[in-house]
Amino acid sequence: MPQLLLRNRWLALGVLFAGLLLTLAACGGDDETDTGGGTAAATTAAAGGGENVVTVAAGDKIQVGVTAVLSGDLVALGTTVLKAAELAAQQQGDVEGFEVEIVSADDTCDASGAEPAAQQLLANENLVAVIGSICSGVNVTVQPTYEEANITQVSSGSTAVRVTYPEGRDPFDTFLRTVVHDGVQGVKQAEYATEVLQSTTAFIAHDTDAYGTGLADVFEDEFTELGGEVVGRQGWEKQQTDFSALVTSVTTEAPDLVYVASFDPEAAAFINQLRDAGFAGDYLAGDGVITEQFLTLSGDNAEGAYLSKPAPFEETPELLQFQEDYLEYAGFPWDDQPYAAETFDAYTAIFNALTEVATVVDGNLEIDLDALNDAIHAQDFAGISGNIAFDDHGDVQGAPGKPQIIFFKVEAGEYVQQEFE
Amino acid sequence: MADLKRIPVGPVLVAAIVAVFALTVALADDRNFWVEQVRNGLTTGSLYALIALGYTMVYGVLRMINFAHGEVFMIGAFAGWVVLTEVFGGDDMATALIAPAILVAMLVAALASASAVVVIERFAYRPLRNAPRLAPLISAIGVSIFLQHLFLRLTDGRFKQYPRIFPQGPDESINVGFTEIAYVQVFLVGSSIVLMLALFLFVQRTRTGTSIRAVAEDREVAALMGINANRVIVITFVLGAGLAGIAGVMYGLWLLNIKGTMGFLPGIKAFTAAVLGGIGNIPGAMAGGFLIGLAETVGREEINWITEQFGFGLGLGNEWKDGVAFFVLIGVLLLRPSGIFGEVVGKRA
Repeated sequence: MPQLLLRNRWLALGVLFAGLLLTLAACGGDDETDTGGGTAAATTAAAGGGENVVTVAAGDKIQVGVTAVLSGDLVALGTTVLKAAELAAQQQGDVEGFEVEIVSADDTCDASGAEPAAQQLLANENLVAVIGSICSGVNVTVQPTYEEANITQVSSGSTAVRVTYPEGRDPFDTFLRTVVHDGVQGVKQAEYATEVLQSTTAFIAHDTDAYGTGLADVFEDEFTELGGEVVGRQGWEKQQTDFSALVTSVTTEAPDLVYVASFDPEAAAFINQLRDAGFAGDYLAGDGVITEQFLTLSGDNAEGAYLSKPAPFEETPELLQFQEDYLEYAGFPWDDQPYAAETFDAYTAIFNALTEVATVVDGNLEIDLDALNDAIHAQDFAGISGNIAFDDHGDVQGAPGKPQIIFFKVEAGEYVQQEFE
Repeated sequence: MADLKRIPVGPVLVAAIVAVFALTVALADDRNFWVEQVRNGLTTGSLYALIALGYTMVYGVLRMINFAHGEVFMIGAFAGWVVLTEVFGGDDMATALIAPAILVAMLVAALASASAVVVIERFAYRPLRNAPRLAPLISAIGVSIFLQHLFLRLTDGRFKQYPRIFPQGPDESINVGFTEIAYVQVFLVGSSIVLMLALFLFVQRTRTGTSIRAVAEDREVAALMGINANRVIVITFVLGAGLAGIAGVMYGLWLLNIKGTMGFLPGIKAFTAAVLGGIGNIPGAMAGGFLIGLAETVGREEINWITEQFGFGLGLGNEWKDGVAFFVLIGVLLLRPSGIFGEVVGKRA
C-alpha cells in the first residue's frame, strides 16, 4: 500500500509537470485563429470583383463609406464618428462638380457584425473609400475583404497595434489610420534608443498586462529592425517589490539600455535596485512611468532616466472652429467621445486624394482606385488632430516640429524635455 | 516495502535539490550569475522565513491560519518608519545615530506588531475559539482586508519612503571572492538567522517555550497540568508578531517604499513557506522560507537551464517567479502532504 501510494504521487507529479509543459507549449504557439475568419471572408468578397476604376455617372454621387458601431452600448461612439464624417463631407464640398455622399453601415464593433457591414458598403456602386472601423476587432476581420475589393480604409479610432502590424504577413496596403496607435510610443522609443542613446543592446522589462506587453512587443520589433539586439526580456506582475533576481539577469547581460514598459511603482522599485546593484547603462520608460510618484519613489536613482509620453492635442484655430461647427451640426460636443477630430482628418485625407486623382471623362467621373490608394498614402497636411502623414504601415506619423511622442530626461529631480523628432 | 515509509523524504529532497544545483554551477558557463541568484534567493527567503514563523507557531497552538499576519508585518514596517523619520530625523540622521536608530525602530516595530496582534486576538479570534474552524479563518481574512484599507486610508493610498540610511549602492557591498554581497543583504540574512536561532532556543529551552510546546501538543491536557492556555496562546501570537514586525523594518530598509497593501504578497508567500516546511513545524518554516525564496530565483533559472540542456529551453522570465514557487509547493505536497519536514510541534498520537 505505501508503495502504491508513493507511485501514485510520482505519477501525479509527472502529470503535473507534463501539464505545465503543455501549457507552455500552447502559449508559445502561433496565434493564427485571429485571422482565420478574415481569410474565409476574403474568398467570398473576391466574387464581388475588385475592379480598379470606379466610374461615377454624371448626376450620381461619389460614395465614401463609414463603418462604425451604430447600435448597442457603444452607439454614442459610432454616432460621434459618423457625425464628424458627415460634417467634413458637408464642409469640404464637391470633387470636380460631383457631390460626395457618406454611406454608413453598422459593424456592431464586433467581429460577427464586421463582414455584413463590409458587404453592405461594398454593394454601393460608387464607393471609393471607407472610414473606419474604430473597432480593431472589426478591422482585423474585414481587412482582407477590403483588400480584395481594392477599397482603402482609413480608420480614425482603431488603436490596437496588430491592425497595422498583422502577424505573419505584410501590412495591408488598403488600411491606414489617423489615430495614434497604442504602440507608436514603442516605435519612437526604439528610434530614440538607437539614434539618441546609441544603444546596441537592450534588456526589456515589462508589466505583464495588455499595456506593458503590447508596448514591449512593439519596442522589441522596432529595436531589432533598427539593428539593435534584445539580450533579454522578462516580465513582472503588479505589486512586485523585490526585483533582485531580475536585476541579476540584467547585470549579467550588461546591456546598453534597460527598457521598461510598466507603471510607476514597479518601475521605481526596479530602477532603485538596478542602480544600487551598480548598473550604469541607460534606462528608458514610457507614459505609465512619467509621474511625480516615480521621482519620489526612486529619488536620486532616477537621475539620468529617459521617459516619454504622447504629445497632447494642439489647440489650433482650426480645432476651435471644428469644436464650434461640430456642436452646431451634431448637437453634442466633439469630445464627449473620442475620435471625432481623427475622423474629420480621415475624411480630409480621402477628399484631398480624390481631388488629386479623379478625372472627368465624357462627363463621368473616373476614379482609379490604385491611384487613390497611392494618393491617400502620400497625403501630408496639418489636420485638426495633428499632422496627417502615413508611414509604411499606414500609421499616422508626426511632422517636423510636431512630434507625436515627446521625451524627457530626469535632471536634478525634474523632467526636462529633450529635443527629438 | 514498508521501509519506504521510513525514508526521510525531507532531507532526501533537500539533498537532491542541492545536488542538482551543484551540478548546474559546475557545468554552467556563468558561475557568477548562479551565485548571485542564490544570494538573492536567500535574502528574500530570510524575510519569508521570519514571517512564516508567525503562521506556523499560531497554527501549532491553535490549528488556525492567521491570515492577518501579513498585515501585522505591514504594521511593523509603518511603526519603524515613524520612528526613523519622526524621531530620528529621516534622511538627515547623523551617521552615529544610524545603528541605534535601526535597533530602536526594530524594537518599536516588534512592540507595535505585538500590540496589534494582542488586540486582534482578543477581539477577532478569542471569541471564536470554540466556533467551527472556518469562523476564525474568515474573521482573520476580514481583519486582513480591514487593516490593509485602514492603512491605505491613513496614507491616502500612497507609498511612504524609508530614509536611505542603510548604505546601499554599487560600492556598498562585501566582496566574498566570487561575488559581491550588498551590506543590506548580509544584514537581512544575518539578523534573521540570529532571530530564528533565538526563537528556536526560546521554544526548546525555556519554561514558556515548553508550555508553548505543551499547548501545541494538546491544549486541554496542558490546561489540566496547570498551564494557562490563553496566556500561552497570546505569547505565541506575540512572538510571531514581533518577528514579523522586525521583518517589516528590514523590508523597509531594503526596499525603501512601503504601502498599506505591502503585506499581502509576502504574507501569502510566507504562508506557503510554512506549509512547504510542514505547518506547525518551526525549523520547517525557516527552511520553507529559504526554499520558497530560492525556488522563485534559482529554481526558475534552474528549470530554464535544465530544459536548455534538453534542447527546449523554456526561458521562464521573472514573471514566472510566483508560478514556479507555487508549482514547487504543489509538487512537494503531492509527494508529502504534511510538508517537507512534516508536522512536528503539534503531532497528535
